[in-house]
Amino acid sequence: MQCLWARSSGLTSAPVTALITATGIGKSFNLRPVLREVSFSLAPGETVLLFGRNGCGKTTLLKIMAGIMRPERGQASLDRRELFTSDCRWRYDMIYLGHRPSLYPAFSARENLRLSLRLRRVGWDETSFQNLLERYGLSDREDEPVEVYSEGMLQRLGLIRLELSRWKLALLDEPTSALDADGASLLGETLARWRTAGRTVLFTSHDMLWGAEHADRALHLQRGRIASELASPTAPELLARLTGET
Amino acid sequence: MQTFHSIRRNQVLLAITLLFAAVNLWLIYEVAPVVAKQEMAQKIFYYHVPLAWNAFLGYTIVAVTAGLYLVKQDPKWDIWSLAAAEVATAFALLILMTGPIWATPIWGKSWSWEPRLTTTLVLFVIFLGYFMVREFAGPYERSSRYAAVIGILALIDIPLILTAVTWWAPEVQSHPQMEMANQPSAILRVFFFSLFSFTLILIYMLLYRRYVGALVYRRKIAQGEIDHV
Amino acid sequence: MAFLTILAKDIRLELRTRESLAAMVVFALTVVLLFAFAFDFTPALRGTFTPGLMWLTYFFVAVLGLLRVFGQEKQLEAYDLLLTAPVDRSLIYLGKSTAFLLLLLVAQLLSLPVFVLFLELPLAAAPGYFILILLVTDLAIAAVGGLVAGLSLRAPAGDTLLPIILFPLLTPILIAATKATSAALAGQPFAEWDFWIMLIITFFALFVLAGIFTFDYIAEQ
Repeated sequence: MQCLWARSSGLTSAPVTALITATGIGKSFNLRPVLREVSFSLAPGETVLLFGRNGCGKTTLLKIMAGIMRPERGQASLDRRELFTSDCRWRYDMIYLGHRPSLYPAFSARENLRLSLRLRRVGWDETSFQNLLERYGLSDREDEPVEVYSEGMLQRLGLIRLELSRWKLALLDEPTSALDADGASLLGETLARWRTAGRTVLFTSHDMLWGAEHADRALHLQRGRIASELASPTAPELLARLTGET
Repeated sequence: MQTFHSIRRNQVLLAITLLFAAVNLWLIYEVAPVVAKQEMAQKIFYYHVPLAWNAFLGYTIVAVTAGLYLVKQDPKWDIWSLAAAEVATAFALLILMTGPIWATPIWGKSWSWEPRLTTTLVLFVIFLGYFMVREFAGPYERSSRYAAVIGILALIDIPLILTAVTWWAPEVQSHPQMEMANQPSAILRVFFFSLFSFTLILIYMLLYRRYVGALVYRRKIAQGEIDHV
Repeated sequence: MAFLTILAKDIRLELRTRESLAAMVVFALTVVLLFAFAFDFTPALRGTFTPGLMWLTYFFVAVLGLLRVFGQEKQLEAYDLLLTAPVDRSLIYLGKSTAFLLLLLVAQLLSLPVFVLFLELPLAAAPGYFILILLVTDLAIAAVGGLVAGLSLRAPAGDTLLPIILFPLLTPILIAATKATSAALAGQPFAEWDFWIMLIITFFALFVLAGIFTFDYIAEQ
């Protein structure tokens, strides 16, 4: 146990040219520390799995990186631009997809996406929109209000939002939780495409098989720190780390 | 174990505060001349006005430390802010009590919408909301930030409330303080002594409450560490 | 730009659902009915009470509107979309407060006839001044309301906390708006009550600045 802790504080495997670097992120709820000192960095084009037991702070960490939650301690920089400051330009390069997909129920898929792109100053491209609807199986539903969508459809819509937007780093919180097998494999293909395009993805998943299959690297979040990391992880390795938690 | 009163500086402060309070009582009842028309009821003037001074000084400290907390994100400022909010609200409550006690014999009714008293009442209600936000607005890290914002808004609001209430009921006047300038110097000397004495009480209460606040904060941190493992 | 996008989004949402506006107008009508039964005015008293009752009603209507305009950000975590967009937090405050301001104005214009008809609000006496008072008062309500609603949006007990925080902060505005409305509709010259307008404008200016500077600390979890 001691050695794991020691290893975490002196995290060394940072890629040489990191896209994002976070150091010493700390966050408490009612003075109970959830994140103590989280430090990590991601290289361009990496697809990285963040895993750990329920309640270990995966969602909290993603929300902090996305700028939704305010950390008490720590710094981070994305492409040499400071995060957690009042300068909001770094958010052009980062996109976040949470458990729930951030949509207005009364708006249609088209309206929701147009709004999101407008806020990020990306132009609207009807052809690619139609193609993506086709690929994610939402054709002909794009003008219905999304309140009638199922959870899985909402998640697919969230993925279309990511496809249409411009970004360098995507933070995905349990992207497969509501997806069926077809949807999960579709997301797998998309992740592979993003990797070749040099886009970085940090995602969480409770599905270790799926996670291991698509991650280049895995960060183990335990006791508020990145306790260890695995290069090209396999599902048994990940499970061993999880069950080995004391 | 170290307590607030085992610190030398605080013992001295307490001794001085008590001494001044005792001398203050003696001055008010034995030395200060009795005002003809009001007789003993006038004596409350030596409490009421310093209480108001303490409350509004306290609310100013709330806003200043709240601003520092938001900018520096250091919990020590939040502990100061909460201490000042509680102490100031206690003084506000005392103003709301002593006001009617004075008004009953002088005005013949216990509550009148006198501007300063009304402003204190509104502020008191704002700070009830402030404490509710601290309790009910989510985890400490978030609710303390929200409370800080309300503390700042409250200070901005004070002059506006006072102006509005003064213009609202111009017929209601005759506050103890209104006749200050016409008071004989024997009364004024006692009054300023009382003001100073009450300021000492404010400082003492503020330091004590901050000390307790810091203890509670440290204990919660320690508890959080234990629960986490 | 982002300000207009957020404003347009809220207007569009309201036009799509029309829930808030309907609720606000019907609520105003209901309250007027309750007032009429509760107070049993003699005609002479009506004139003195009506401006106060009207503003009291609009304070409650404002809370309804705020709960709607800010509440819709909570469903499906839509608020995260605004927070993760490259948009300054103060523009979220200004955009949403402006949307609320427009909503409140429309709700007031639609419910004013009720006050004229049932509580004999002498609107025809000074319609121009009345519009001026309405505008500045709504600006002040929106400046504080947007800030407090942004705060209550993130709190578990936020819907209950909203009026508890908002109303005491707004007391100077209730006094000023009521006094100014009474004076204007009684035909007093502007110079005799213009200080109320000054007070409301000062209030608005101070709180909108406070909102711009503090919304950063309120928006995030």
